[in-house]
Amino acid sequence: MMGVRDTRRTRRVLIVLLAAALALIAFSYSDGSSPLLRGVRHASGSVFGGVEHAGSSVAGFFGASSGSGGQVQQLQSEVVRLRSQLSQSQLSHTEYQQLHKMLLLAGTGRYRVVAASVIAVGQGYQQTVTVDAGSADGVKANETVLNGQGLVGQVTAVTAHTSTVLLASASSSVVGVALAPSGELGWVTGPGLSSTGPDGMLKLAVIDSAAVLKPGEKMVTSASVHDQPFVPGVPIGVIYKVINKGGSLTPLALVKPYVNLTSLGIVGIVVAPPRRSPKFSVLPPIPHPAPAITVTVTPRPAPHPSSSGSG
Amino acid sequence: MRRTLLAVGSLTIALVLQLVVLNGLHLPGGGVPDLVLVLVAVLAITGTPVRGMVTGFAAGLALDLAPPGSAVLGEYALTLCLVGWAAGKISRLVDRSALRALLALAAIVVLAEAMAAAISIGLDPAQFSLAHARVVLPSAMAYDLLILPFLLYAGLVARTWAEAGPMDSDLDPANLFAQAGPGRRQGGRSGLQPRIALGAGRPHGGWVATGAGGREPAFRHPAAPRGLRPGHGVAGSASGGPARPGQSRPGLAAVPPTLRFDSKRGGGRSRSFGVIGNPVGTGLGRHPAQHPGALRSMSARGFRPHAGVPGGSAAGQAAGLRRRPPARPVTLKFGAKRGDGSVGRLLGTPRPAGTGSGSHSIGLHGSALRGSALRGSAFHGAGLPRAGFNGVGQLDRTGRSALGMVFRRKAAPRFRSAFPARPVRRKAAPRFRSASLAPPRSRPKAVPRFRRSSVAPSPALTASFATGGVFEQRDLLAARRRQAGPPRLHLSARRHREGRLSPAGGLSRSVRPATPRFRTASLARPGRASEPRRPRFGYGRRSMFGFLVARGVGGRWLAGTQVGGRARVWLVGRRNGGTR
Repeated sequence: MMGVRDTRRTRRVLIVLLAAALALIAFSYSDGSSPLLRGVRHASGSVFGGVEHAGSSVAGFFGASSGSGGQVQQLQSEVVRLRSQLSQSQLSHTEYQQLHKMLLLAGTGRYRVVAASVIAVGQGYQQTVTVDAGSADGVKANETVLNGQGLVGQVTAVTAHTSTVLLASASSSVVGVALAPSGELGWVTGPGLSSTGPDGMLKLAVIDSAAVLKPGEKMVTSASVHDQPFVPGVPIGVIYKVINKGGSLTPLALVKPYVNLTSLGIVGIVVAPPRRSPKFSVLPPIPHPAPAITVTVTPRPAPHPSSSGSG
Repeated sequence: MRRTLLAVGSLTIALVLQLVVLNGLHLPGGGVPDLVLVLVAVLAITGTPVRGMVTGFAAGLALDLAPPGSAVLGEYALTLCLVGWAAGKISRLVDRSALRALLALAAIVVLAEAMAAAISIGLDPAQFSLAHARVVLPSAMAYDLLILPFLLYAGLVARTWAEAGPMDSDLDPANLFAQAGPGRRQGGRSGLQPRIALGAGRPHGGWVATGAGGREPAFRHPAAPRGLRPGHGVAGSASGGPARPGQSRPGLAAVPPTLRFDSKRGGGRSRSFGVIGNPVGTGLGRHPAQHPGALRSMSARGFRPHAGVPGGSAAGQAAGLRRRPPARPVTLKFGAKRGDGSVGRLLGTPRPAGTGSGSHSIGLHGSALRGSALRGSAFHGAGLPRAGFNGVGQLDRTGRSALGMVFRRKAAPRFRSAFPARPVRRKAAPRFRSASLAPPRSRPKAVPRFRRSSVAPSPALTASFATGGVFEQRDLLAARRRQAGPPRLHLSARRHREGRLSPAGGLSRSVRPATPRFRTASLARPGRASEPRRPRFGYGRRSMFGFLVARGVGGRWLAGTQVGGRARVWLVGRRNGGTR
């Protein structure tokens, strides 16, 4: 085409490069955890991670300066005050909120966390992100990542200053869960990007075939062996819909995760598990029992309990 | 070098931008633009296939490795390598028509997105399924196509910058020819491949002519050390001008020499500059300064094609525009049109130089050059001095082709109107690629040659070259009346990469009277004479895109871009693809 026929050299280079690419694919597909591959990824991650770090700080600067918009004037004093309290320098208001919630959750569950922010998102159809904390901050592989709402994922690879997080919605992510009131054990798998139903729904399967699942049931992570990759007690989500498939041995359900996994900001990496399992204490306050409590409280100041019953 | 720096820098920025910003965006449709993919395609289309595929592979590998990285190493390397190769293959389109280049590039980008998705589905079906691809992929493609024109424009701008750089100047044909000795040129630079753009003759299809309209250029600057310098032109001359080392004219230094076999004297789209002097001088495989005196003495004025011939390509410039820089440099063309003459015809029908007292043709045969023809009289002539080539002896012997050194200045893209007026130098990509600049011992046969049909050069014919002669149209007509074959350019694509250009018209007319001008391969191989003839012109061997040049699929469209404006003529006449 176009008069430029492939010369012998062109063809040779093309064949060599294609063969190299295919060999790489075959090698990493068959043995994704080989030390050689891990070393290469680690080395390149150190290089690119630094670049991404710089790039994200630049992007964050622009984003923070442009995103605040008209509210800068109003929030200025507050932001200055909050920033003075925080060790991290350029935190926007939303990032402060995220960090605050994450620290609350970590404090409730007595997790020791390292705060990090997402600096890069996986290319193509990966569901991985890069965060800006690495082995220099005490992060190791196979640690739990959470944020203020609940479980985010697990650390799969660590370089000196960056870590790669496999999101809970990835298809290769499997999380052992415990349902909140009943303590039923099960596991949640990520849908990947292949879900045809509502976006971002995790798939829940419980072990007990006689268990009855109801929409609205919540779940936390159950303990893993040596608390890796998941520490116990991290909130995951609520059952959105129960699937009754005829042929399945166990009940299935779709779980709506607490965390919006497509827009992550500040996350925390649990570097030390709690001494005791927090059970369900970390779960957000249950919305359904809350009106009942309100009803019992409100009659005291006012003799009209029916007016405030809705909550 | 600048180009490499540019590619590395822009790809790094694009990579970071992709991973940090773009992939985290939530755009309608669910997809995000793949900046790296588009950038690889743009970088490749402004370069060559090899450069494109290496760029793509490197960028893909970086994308695979950069955290968070791909699940499987190499999937983007594979995709982007193919993208770079394919976009490099159509790199000539960008000089023909920006719109076509854009469309072709868009097709490549869309296919690459689909391929990346297919690889993802194949490697991890649970993560990414076809159903989701149907949702996400169109929007991702749409975003890619949205940013493609802007990146293409930026890429073209960047290309002009990169090629204007001093670091690339040694790759520039003009500078190379003017400054480098033969030993340097034998380094086998990939960027300096000769091209022969074949096309039909134009009415004033040029000869390889010398002289400057009766002037005596040979002794104007007798001390000029370099033989022939292209691109440093005095007005109207292809290679004239003071040939002093280190002296270059500011506005004119960057004109690459071109020896065209093309029909188009394209104004804006396909301009070329004809310089015969330097290809001739350097084609002999020795330093011009060591050359036999004739060539050295030519150096002041150089060859001036058609100078002094009414209607000649350099006549007007020789007449009136001597003081000014050439408004349009001389194009030297080898037309194969009937009534027009060709190199072969010129060589084959020598006519004693009767018109002028001192006019001779020079045949660039060894004996001719060393003989008295050049020294004595070739450039003294007040008549119609001309030069003919006999490529048989010289070119084969030196392994380098004088006529093969065809450098073509690519046409400006249409965006060019916003560009500075400085001429843009391009690397000459091969049309008929040959290894003529490689050392002869490595691939001695991959040299485009002018050859006669008879295998061994006849001494008598060679002698006729040496004596030379003025060839005019009536000679041609007379010769044709004497049952001569039309002037021919033999493109025997026997070996798959070498196009041999064979001006064998007059020489072989007794041997083979009426063979078509452009021979098909089946004629070259008697064993396959029964094979249906295909025009082996332009694209002898079908590439992977061969289906695109099939007539039903749009072959005209592409063939129009292939070898100039007349190219479709070649497709029409299968047997004899001329313009008769």
